[in-house]
Amino acid sequence: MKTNGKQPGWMVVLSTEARHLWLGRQGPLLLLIFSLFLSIYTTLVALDPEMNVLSPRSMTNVALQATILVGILVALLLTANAISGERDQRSLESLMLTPLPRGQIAVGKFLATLSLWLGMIPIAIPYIVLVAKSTSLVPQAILLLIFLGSLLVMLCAGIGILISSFASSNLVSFTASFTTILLLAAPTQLPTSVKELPAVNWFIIFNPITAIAKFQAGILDGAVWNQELGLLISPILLLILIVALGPAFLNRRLSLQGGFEQ
Amino acid sequence: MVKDVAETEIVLSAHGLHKSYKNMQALTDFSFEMRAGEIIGLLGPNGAGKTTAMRILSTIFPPDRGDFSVMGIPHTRREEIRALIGVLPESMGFPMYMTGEEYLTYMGRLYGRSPQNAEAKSMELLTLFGLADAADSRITTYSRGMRQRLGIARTFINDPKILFLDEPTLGFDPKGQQEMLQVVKDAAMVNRVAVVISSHQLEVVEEICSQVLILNKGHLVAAGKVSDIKQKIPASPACRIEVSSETMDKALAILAQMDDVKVERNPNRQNEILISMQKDGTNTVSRILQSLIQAGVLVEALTKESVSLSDAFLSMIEEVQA
Repeated sequence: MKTNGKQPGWMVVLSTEARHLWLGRQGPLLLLIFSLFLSIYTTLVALDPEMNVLSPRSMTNVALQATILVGILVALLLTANAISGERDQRSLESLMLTPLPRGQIAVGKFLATLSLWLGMIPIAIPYIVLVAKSTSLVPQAILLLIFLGSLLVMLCAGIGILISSFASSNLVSFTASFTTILLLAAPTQLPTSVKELPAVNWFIIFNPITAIAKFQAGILDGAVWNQELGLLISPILLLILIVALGPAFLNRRLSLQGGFEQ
Repeated sequence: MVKDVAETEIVLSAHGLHKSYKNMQALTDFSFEMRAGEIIGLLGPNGAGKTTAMRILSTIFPPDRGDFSVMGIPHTRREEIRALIGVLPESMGFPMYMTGEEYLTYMGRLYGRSPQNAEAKSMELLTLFGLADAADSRITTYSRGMRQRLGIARTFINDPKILFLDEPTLGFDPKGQQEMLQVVKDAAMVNRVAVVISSHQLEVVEEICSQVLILNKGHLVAAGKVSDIKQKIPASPACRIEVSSETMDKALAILAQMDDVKVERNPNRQNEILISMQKDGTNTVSRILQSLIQAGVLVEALTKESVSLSDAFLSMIEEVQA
C-alpha cells in the first residue's frame, strides 16, 4: 500500500529498521562475531592438517554448511525479536495504530534482517575460497553460498517472523524459532545408513532444510546442478508460500497480545 | 468517502458493541455517538471495559458483535479509520533506541508524510509539548512525564479528527497536567477534534469533559452531561461548619436536638462539624445557622457541599454492584 502517494509503508519500516541495524551497534557487532567465527573456524579446523580428518571436498561442504548456519542463526535472532520484541516493550500497539496494513510491518522488518545477510556474503567469500582452494570447487562453493545461503536465510527469517508475530513474548518467540529450526536441521546429522531408509529419505526431500543440505552435498560431490534441482522444490515452494501469503495472513491475524485470537 | 466534519457533526457512532475474552464478557451492548469538538470522559472501575472499548474503537481489536463508524467509515475499513484517529494507549511503550524527534518523524512517515514534512511536524509537536530541548535525546533518557508528553504528541502527528486518550495525565505534575489539558481543550475547541478520555482522575474528567460514559463490568451504566449525571445522584445535601473551639460542645448539643440532620465532628479538623441533611438543604442550613447564632455559638465558616462527579461515579458503581 502506498500512503498518500508517498513511500510505501513497508519501505519506511525497512529504512528505519535497517538504519537502526546498521548504524546502531547490533549489525556491526553481529558482523564482527561472524568474521571472528569464520576466522577461528577456518584457521583452527579447516586449515590445520592435524585437526582436519575430512577430504577437501567434504571440508568445503562442512565449512559452507557452518557459514550458512551462522547466517540462519543471525537471521533468526533478529526476526524472532522483530514483532515480539515490539510486543514486549509495548511499542507494537503504536505501530498497529498507523494506517499501515499489519503485514507491511512484518515485511519491512523481514527485509531489514535480510540486509544483514547481504553484508555477511562478502565477508564469507574469502573464507570459503581459502577452504576450497585446494579443490576445483571454488566457483560452485561461492555460488552455493550466495544461492542456497540466501534461500535458507530467507526461509528461516520468514519462519522466524511468523513465529514472532504470534508469540506472546520474546522468550516464547526465541524458543519456538530455534526449536523449529533445530528440529528441521536435526536429520542432517543422522548416520548415512539411516538417511538411506525410504521414509527418512522422503522426509529429507520434503524438509526444506535437509533438502538444501542434500542438494549442496550433491553439487560439491560432483553432481550436475540440474540433476539435483528437484531437491529445491520444497524450500522454494515454502518460501513462495511465506512471501506470497504471509503479509496478507498477518494483515488479518497479527494481534496485540500474540496468539491467533483477535 | 470521508464526510466533512461540518456536514455530519457526528464523527463517531457505535452500536451494540460486544467483546469477550475466552469466558469473560468484557463489553456488552456498548452504544454511543460523538460529535465534532466534543470531549467525552470514559469512566469505570478497573476491569469495567474502558480499555477494551478504546481498543475496539481504535481498530486494535474487532468487535465480536455490533458495529461502529468513524466519519461515515465502517469499522471494517480499519486502515482508513486509523488515518483519522490519534490514540494514546494504556501504558504506551517506545523504541528506546530512537530520539524523540526520530520517533515522531518515523510515525509521521507511517501516516504518509514525506520525510521533510514529517520532520517539520515532529519538531512542531515537540515544541508544543515542551520537549524541544530533548528532541535529540534518546527516549530511554526521558522521564515518565516526558514519555507521556511524547505519547500524546504522537497522537497529533496525523492531525486527527478523533483522539482516544487512555489515562493521559499519568506522570504529570499539576502544571504539566494543566498544560496538557489545555492542549486537548484547544484541539477540541479550535480544530473541532472529538476527544475520548479514559481516566481514574475524576477531577480531570469533570474539568474537561462535556459528557461522560460510565462503564461497569462491561455494561454502560450511565451516559450524559456531567451535570445531568450528578443530578441523578440522590445524595443528601451536606455542609461543614467551623465554630470556635470554646463553643464547640454547645454547637454539638444544639445540632443533636435537630431531627433531620446527622452530625459528626470532623476527625481531621478540630473545629469543624460535618452535617448531613435529610431534606431540602437550603431551609435546613438557615435553621441550623439561626439556632447556633441564637445560642451564642461563634460560627467562623460555613461551606455547603455539592455532589462531585466522584460521588456520582461511586454511587452508580455501588448501585450496580448491589
